[in-house]
Amino acid sequence: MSATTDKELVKNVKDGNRVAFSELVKRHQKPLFQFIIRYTRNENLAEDIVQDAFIRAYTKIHTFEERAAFKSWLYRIALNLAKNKLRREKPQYSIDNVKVGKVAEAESALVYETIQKRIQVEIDALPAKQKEALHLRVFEDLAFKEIAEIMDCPYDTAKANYRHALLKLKQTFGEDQALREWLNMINRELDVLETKLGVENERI
Amino acid sequence: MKEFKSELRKLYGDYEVSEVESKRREKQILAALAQVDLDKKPFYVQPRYLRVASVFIVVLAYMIYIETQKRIPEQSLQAKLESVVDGLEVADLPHTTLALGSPNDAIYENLRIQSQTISDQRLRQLMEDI
Repeated sequence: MSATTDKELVKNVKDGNRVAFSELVKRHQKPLFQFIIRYTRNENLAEDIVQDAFIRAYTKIHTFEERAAFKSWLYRIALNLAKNKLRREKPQYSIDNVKVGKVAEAESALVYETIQKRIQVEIDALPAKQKEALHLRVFEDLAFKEIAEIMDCPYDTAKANYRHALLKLKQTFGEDQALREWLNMINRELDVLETKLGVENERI
Repeated sequence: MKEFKSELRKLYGDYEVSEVESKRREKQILAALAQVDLDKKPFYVQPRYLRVASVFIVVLAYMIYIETQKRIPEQSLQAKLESVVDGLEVADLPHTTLALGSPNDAIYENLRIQSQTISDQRLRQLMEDI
C-alpha cells in the first residue's frame, strides 16, 4: 500500500480530520527543527518556533491554497517566525552551543577546527536572504523552485541569492591560505551554477 | 574531489537530533495542537474568492459606465442646439461669430445674442428646448 501523500493529508485535515495533521507533524517535525536550529543556533528558540509553526499551519490550513507543496508552506511559516523572533529578541546564540556531527569530530585537528569556526562565523554574517538561500540549498538540498517558494521570491532571485552567498564566501576566503582548498570547492560550485544558468538562458 | 555541499555540511556543524529528543518534541507539539480550538475561527474569505469578487466589481462598474454613456451620447446636446438654431431666422444671426472658436462656442454665442432680441415667450421656449 502506498503511503499517503502530504496533499492527501492536507485534504483530510481540511475535511475535519484532525488525526491527519498528526501524521504531518510526524513527517516534518524533525527536519524542520534541524533547519530552524541551524538558522537560529538556539535550541529553545528553535523548539518554540517549530511548535508555533505547526500551530499556525494547523489553524490556517483552510487558507493554504496548495499552489506550493505543504513542506514549502510550512518551512516558509517557520522561517518567517524565526526571522521575526530573531529581530525582536536579538541573537543570543553562540556557535559553540551547536553540537557538531560525528564526521567533524573524527577530524579534530586544530586547523580543521579553525576553518570550521571561520566558516560558521562567515556564514552567520551573510545577509539574511543569502544565508537563507545557502541553508536551504546546502543543508536541505532543495531545488531552487522550492527555495523560491519558501523564501517567497521569484526563482531567479533565489538563485541569485545563493550565487551572491558563494561569491561573498569566495571573496572572504580568498586571502586565507588555510582556506585555499575551500576556494577551489566554491569555484567549482559556482561553475556548475553558472553553466546551469547559461543553459537556462539559452533555452529562454 | 571534495564536494562543496557535503564539506560545508560537515564544517558548519549539524545539530544531532536523537530519536528520543525528536519523539519528545513531537509529543509536545501534538499536545499543544490538542489545545487549539478550531471552532474559534475568525471570519475569513479565501483570497481566490476576493480576487473573483474584485474582477466582477470592475466588470460591473465598466458595464454601468458604458450604459450611462449610451444614454447620454456626447453628440446629443450639440445636435439639439443645432436643431434650435436651424429654426431661427438666418438674418438674426450675426455671421461674424460663426467662424470663431469651436462650433459649440459659436452656437452658444449666437443663442445669447439672439435671446436678447427675441420675445420672452420665444426665449422660454428656446430654453425649454435646450
